[in-house]
Amino acid sequence: MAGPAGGIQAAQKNTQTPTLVQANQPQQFTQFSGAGDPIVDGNVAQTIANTVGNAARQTAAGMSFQPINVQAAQMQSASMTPAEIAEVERYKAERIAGVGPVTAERVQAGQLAGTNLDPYFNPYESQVVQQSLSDLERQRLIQQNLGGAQAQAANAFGGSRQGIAEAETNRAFAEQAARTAAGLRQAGFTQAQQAAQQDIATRMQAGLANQATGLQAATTTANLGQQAQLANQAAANQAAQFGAQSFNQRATQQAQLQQQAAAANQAAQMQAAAANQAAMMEAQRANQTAGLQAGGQRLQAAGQLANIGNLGFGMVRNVQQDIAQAGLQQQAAQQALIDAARGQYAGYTGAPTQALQTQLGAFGGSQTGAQTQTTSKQPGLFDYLQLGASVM
Amino acid sequence: MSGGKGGSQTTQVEIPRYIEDASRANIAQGKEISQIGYTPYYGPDVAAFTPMQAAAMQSAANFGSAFGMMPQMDAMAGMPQAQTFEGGLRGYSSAPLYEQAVAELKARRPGQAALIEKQFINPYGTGTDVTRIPGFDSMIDETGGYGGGYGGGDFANGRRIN
Repeated sequence: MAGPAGGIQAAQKNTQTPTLVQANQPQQFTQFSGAGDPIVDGNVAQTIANTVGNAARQTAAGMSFQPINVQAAQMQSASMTPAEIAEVERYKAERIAGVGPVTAERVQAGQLAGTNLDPYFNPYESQVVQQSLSDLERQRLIQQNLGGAQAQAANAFGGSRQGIAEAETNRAFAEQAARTAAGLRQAGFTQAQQAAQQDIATRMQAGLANQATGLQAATTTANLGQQAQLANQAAANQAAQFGAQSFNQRATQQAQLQQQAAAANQAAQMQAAAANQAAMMEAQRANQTAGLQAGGQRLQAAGQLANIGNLGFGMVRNVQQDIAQAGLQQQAAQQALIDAARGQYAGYTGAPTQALQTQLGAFGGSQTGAQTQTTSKQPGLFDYLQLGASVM
Repeated sequence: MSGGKGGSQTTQVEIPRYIEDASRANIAQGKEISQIGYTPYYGPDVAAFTPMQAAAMQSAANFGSAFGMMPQMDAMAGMPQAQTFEGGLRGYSSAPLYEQAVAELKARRPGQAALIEKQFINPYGTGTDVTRIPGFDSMIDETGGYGGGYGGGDFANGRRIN
């Protein structure tokens, strides 16, 4: 059976959300290089830089405004729940299950053969037989006494005739006792067999009666069950038709409500958008003002940081110069010590040359130049000729 | 000098006696002096830093450590141990460095070191192993000594070497 037309489509859940206006994010204050660096223990300059940087960042963060976005309330139309879907599925024509097959009981015929006849025997049969034989014995004894009395009266007691008469009497009583016992037992067996046959016949009649009754009852039950199923089927079909009509009516109402909700949502979204836009503009103005203020404070903080930095730089520079000066003094002292050692080593290695210079100096110093020069001359022939010529 | 038909002329230069004796003495003395060899200096060569200087250096080092320029350290680390000399003067002597250098030369270049020291007397002996010019003693005995300066004539007031 198909579901109600248009009911399911109109019941779709409206999950669309309006586009919210996002305000500008606050600018992060990152002008200081030491921002976020851990404070170094004992490092005064780094500690100052970190402190000023953190203060500036906190100032900038505190001046940023985040507008609150207005969320339009969403009117949710009724949607089909799984139970309702199952209800739609329930609007179907009922099907009767039918009745089970009608079965008759099986009647089993009894057999005398194999039937235990003990329950059918007379439990007092042996006592009856025994009593009959006792009666015969008592009669025999009475007869014997009577014969003995007659023989005695005839003075023939103990004679052969009395003997034969007693023997005949005993034989007749014995035969009578046998016939009596056999007849009694034969009558008991016949009576038991007849009782057994009567029971077999009675059970046969009872089985046939039960079979007929059961078959009739089963047929009646099947007829009643089928009638009940047909009645339920008709009632269920009538109820399903009524439910489908109700469901269609409700779905139509839901569709109308959904359309109304959509219209309301659209109006709410427009109002929310307008509110967000106004809030955004207000937030932008506030952020602009705060940004200007923060900028001024950042400039002031930067100036202070610059002054502190210059002060620290000057101090660092002075300390650096002091350290360098101390290093130079220490290095110069060690260099002077090395130079002195090198001088002594040069004296050691140059001692031979110095010794040679000493000897050469002693020798050269002895050459004072003090000397006596003596010149002697012997005249020759030309000297005399020249002397004569000068005289003339 | 010239001779022959023109005659001849002879010029003779002589050193005075006292100059000659003094020159001999000088040469002999130079011979002995040249055998003395190098005499090291064991006194202080460089003055040590005063306590005030060391304190100033340590203060500068502490400042540098505080500013993150250098680790905390002893400002006088790396400097040799100063010696205390007569009068409480503290300084550094180059003698240990010199002796180390000479010992290194003897270990690395024993030939050179041996030839250097062969020129001189044993510096650790009594000084009597000096080599003298032959006859120098008699010359001194003859002149009665030398001294009073080079080229001086007062040899009698001079001192004896031994």
